[in-house]
Amino acid sequence: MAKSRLKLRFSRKLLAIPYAVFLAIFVVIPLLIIVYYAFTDADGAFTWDNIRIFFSGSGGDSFFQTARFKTFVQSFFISLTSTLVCLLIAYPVAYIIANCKLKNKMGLLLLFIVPMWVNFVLRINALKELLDWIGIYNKPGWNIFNTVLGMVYDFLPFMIMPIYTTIIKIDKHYLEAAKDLGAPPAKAFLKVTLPLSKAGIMSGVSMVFLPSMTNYVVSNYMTYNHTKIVGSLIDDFFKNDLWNMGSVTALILLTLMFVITWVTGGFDAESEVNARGTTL
Amino acid sequence: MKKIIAIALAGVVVASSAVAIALNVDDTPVLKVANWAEYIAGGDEDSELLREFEVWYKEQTGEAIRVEYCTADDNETLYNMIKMGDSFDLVCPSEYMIMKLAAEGYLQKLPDSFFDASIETNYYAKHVSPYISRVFAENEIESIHEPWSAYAAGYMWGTTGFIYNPEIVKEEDVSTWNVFVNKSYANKITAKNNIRDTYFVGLAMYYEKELLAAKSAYNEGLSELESQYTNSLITEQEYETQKDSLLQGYQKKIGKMMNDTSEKTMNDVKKILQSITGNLYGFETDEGKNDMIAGKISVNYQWSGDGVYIMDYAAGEIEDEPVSNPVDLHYSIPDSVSNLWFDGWAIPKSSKNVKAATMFINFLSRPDNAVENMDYIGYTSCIAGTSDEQDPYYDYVFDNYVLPKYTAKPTDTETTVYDVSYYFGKDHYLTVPVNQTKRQLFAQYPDELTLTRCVAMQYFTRDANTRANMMWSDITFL
Repeated sequence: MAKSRLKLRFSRKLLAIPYAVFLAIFVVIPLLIIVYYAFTDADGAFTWDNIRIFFSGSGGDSFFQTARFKTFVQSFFISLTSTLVCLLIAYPVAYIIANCKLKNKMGLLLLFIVPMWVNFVLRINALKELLDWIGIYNKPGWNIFNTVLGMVYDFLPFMIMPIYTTIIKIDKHYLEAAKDLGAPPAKAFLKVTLPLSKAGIMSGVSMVFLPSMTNYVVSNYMTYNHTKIVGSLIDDFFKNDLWNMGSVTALILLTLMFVITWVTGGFDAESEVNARGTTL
Repeated sequence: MKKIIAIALAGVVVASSAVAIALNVDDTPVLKVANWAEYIAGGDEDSELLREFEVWYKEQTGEAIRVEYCTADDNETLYNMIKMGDSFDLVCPSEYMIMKLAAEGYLQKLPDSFFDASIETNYYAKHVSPYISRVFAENEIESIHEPWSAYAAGYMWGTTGFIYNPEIVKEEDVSTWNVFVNKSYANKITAKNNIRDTYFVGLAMYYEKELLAAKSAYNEGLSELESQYTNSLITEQEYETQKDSLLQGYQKKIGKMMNDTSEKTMNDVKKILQSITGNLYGFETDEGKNDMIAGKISVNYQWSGDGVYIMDYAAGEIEDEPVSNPVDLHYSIPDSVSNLWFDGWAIPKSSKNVKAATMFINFLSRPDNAVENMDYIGYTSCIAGTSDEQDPYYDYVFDNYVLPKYTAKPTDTETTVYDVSYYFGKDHYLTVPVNQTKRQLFAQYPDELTLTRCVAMQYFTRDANTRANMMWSDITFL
């Protein structure tokens, strides 16, 4: 009797400890450090100045004319486009793989995952050379396109995986029921499959959207440092010994992402369940 | 029973690993050095020079030492490392970062004994170029009113300028900073992807008239002084001191302009820089080298050290790196002003082994090691060798590096005499192919007159740094 109680405690609380420790060291503490730097000056005294400086204009320009504001807007646009393109490509792929008659679906899926095993800087560089060869690399007007292309190339698997896992889990009986009740395949898809795979879509979106706001390595490589995203802004601040400004920028991005996730219902606990549980 | 065995086995494993760790403890004193990547002969931590230093140190002091060598990506990374409490015994930042670190109290002064040239192994004091030691004595870390030499010993140095293809680009076009707005080179010219180098460009364009006026005032003063001297109105000594103070006055004047970070100037410079971005191929960090070699761009704003590499490479002069279509690229320093930079050795306050640190500087400053480093890195060492004929390193760098590398061959038709006396001491001339006065030799050892208009940039103060960053994000948003 005593033995089984011991077992129970072990499986519940003790198993959570490694992740709790991980969470504390790599998420909570860094976050607190960011907050600390965002609200202190270079001497460590409390100040609102960093936020004030961030939202103030310079040289007669208002905040909305500064590069900081424009960078946020441009970065948002790039992220949104990349996410939509990823979704448009990933959904059919995930749908087809999940519904194909092949026994070894994992093998098919691997075809999309394996390219991720090649170092991403290497892949982005190769893509860059390819664009240069075509003649659209570092040409005026192509930079945003090239950035989106790089982001999609880089993050596509993160969209495919969660959608695939939700679609494959959908009970086929629902579709049969829809068919029995006279719904044509298109309607059955819209009324059954799509709503039931919403969790996967949300998960994929959140895994593509945020990195696309910050992965400045992609935008730097793909545009010869022409296209700035929020990540480049943060990097510039930290690189040039302005940790406080960099932290404020990171915090603003964080808040923005929180609001977006909240508004789009990304915190809906039920829909998140099982969506991410995949092994890459 | 099984449990006992398992526990016993675990005990054995733990005990044996503890013994292994204990045996591995190495109590040899350590010298922890931080430098840039590929900035010592033979690469980084595998460099033969490090092992040779350990042997030499033992010979000199009877004590063992182990060099722990690591590399930093850039000055800002190194600064953050030091600020976060990484302790190094010796670091090699650039001039502005040395000034910043010194002003913020992270560095200790070099010991007086380090500059005593009468000590046999004080190779730095004995062999540093007279030009470098003058620059280090005259330039000041403004906020603490100390000369550079109080905190730093020079390692490599150079200027900034334009690498260009003379078949496509006119020389007079790259003699002015306005080449950045020259439509002939639209999308064929690059700037540096960092605030300081680009702000320097903006300042040079902003102050162009004043800089050229200061230059001609200096030249007039100089020719007047010369005529006074040739007419024997002043003694040679008077002439020399007046010439020196004239030069110092000129450099102070242009130095002040090139360090103007006031809010008004920065706003004006921002507008100038925004006007050049449309003409640029882009802001580059390292990509420019390859783009220049591949011919994608025709003008590359570059540090002289990397410029030498580009010229070597494009001409097919690098071993094992043949190029199908060799080109002779040139290096140009604009007429009005340019940037003088150096990387130097400095000792952080946290250093636990100052003696070994200074000996390491001296070891790398021994002229044979300096030449070895130059051959590998391609940058120009601050070491010249001595003019004392009794010294085993008499004229070492000039005889073993400059002469064999640049002396004209019998097959060279057009040759000229090039004067590097300012750097190596009186009467150091060499006969070189004419184009070398615009190529690697010029990039490595610019003539004395050109160097009069090269000034260093101080570090940005806190306020200026914030403003500069905001400006930077505004100009680089395209």
